[in-house]
Amino acid sequence: MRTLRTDERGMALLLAMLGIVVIGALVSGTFFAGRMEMVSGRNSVYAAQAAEAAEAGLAAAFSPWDRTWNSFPVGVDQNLPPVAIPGPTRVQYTTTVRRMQGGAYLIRSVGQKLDRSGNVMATRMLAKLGKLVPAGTATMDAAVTTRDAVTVSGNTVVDGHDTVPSGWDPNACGPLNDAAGIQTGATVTTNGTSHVIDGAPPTVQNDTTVTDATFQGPFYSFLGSRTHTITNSNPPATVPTTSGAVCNQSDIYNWGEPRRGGAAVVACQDYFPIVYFGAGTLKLQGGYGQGILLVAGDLWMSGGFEFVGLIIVLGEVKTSGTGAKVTGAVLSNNFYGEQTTLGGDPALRYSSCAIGAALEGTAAAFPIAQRPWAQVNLR
Amino acid sequence: MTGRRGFTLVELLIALVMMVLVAGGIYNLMVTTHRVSRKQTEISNLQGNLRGGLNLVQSELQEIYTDAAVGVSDIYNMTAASLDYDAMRGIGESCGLTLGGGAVQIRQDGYSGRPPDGAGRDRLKLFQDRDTLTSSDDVWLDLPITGVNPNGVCTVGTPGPSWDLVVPTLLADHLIDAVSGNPLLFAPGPVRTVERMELGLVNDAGKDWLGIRSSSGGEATLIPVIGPLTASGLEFLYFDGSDAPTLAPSAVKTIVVTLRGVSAEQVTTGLGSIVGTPEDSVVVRVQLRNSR
Repeated sequence: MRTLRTDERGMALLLAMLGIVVIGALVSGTFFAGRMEMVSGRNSVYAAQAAEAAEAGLAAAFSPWDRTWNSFPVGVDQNLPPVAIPGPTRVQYTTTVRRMQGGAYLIRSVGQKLDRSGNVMATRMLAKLGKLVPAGTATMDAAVTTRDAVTVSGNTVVDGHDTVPSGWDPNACGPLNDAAGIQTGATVTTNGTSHVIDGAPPTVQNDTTVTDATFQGPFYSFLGSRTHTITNSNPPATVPTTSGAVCNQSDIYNWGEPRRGGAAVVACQDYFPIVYFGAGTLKLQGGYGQGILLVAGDLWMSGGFEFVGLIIVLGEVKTSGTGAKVTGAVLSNNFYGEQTTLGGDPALRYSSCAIGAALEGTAAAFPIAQRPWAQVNLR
Repeated sequence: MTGRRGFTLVELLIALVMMVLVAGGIYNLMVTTHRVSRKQTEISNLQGNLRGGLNLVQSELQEIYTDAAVGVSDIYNMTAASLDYDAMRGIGESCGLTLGGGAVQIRQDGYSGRPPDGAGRDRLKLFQDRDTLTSSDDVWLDLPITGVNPNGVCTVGTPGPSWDLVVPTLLADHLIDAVSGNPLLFAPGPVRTVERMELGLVNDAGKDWLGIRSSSGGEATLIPVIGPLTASGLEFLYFDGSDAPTLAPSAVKTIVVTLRGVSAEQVTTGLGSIVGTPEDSVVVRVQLRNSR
């Protein structure tokens, strides 16, 4: 009978361990390769999400354009706060707006993918060049342009000499080019001798180039971008107002600040609204403002109302009393058959600078026509 | 001890045969593992190469400008196997313009991209705005750069480091409208730099590669950068705005690029000792972001 020896040495354990090591190495290798593929794929997804976030930032910058950016100082980066894109993806974009001369803008958008702790997992940066384009188009060749007859009386001043609004920096204006005082498709009638009609030339009468399109083209081109709609035909005196240190653009009777120095509300000096009044007669009896005023009915001005910019009226324009001042241009279509009556002591002066500022202030930026988009790498 | 006895010959033979079988199995397993590992490594490298090629092609081509309405394009020549084009190299703002010697300053802070090259590699695109209130008359002046001083100081706006470019073809009528007197160029204003490049197939040591060269930089031949590729492993297809194939450079809105790669080394591809070179391909559809 054989006896079982207890001190015999076998190889089973050795073989088993070898097998475990080999299998372990295979599994580890496969796991490692798989993990590498997964990490690589995940990084690609993160990079794509960051790039999409950057695209979203560019799109948001231009649509809708924030008109307060129109007055950003030239050559200075304005860093806007990060915007998180709603949803579970934890991506955000941060936009930087840089204004250049001539109404050009460089918008840079950094898209970031974040982890749960807010650590940045991927970053992509894109840029787009934009340019301010006016909300509408208008060609002004005179301080006052009308389709029908104009009657001038009292101490009215109509001056086509190109002027810079009181207190404004002339260096911020383009070259000055004088225009006509009154340009009309009919005739100009004057009463008395106290009025002043000046310009280059003072009047252009029976001008066949003045048609309804002269007024209605600009009117409707700006109408779609109106900032405020006024329904009160006897609005209170318009004055600039602020909310904290910021110009209160939600106040429909805040038409910006055309004044300079003294008690001027600086926060509203770059605010140029497009104000619209529908049918009826808008009676402005005080206050001041700037921008573009669109009146579908008639406009009566008195009581020291002051405006810098462009006024387009489809009906008649009538001035009376003291102090109505417009620096820029007035267009009166006389569409309903009335005449334009300028009485009292208004001062209507042509200003390409005021018109330009109104056009620029109400403009919105769009990507430039050629080569606007860039994938950006920070140096 | 008389009770002790050794292994019989039969036992030893059986043990030996079993050990040979086990060792053979382990050897086979290890060889297979090695082959699979090598094959996977090659395929992984191949796919990595193709991904690199995809990224290169996309970043090179996506900023190309084309405009069918005016017949203008950044593409000079295009075939199914090669593409000759202007690649964007930088974007930023000018910070000084002078006619004396034709100098344009580019602000270094905030500039994105490679610093401008003054040895002819880069050209300057200078945004010219004839009427600031309209967009239809805007153009990019295309001006050769003949020199760069990297230690300039901006003369417009906040003083800061600038690259002062020598641009002899910058003329007075580029800056000021002779009739109206209005300025046409502004500082700060948009600037870009471009480099004329070519993508194509190039043969190196008997293998085809994706090659690239800077023709404006004087590189005579394509430099292999991604590969190896299969024969005809690079293909360009060009599509217009309606997604129809086009041969007109100004009409191109999308470029579909196909890269077919092949592994650099031969690996076992099947059972036994059958060897070969695994192939793979990627297709990227590059939307030209600046096409109109």
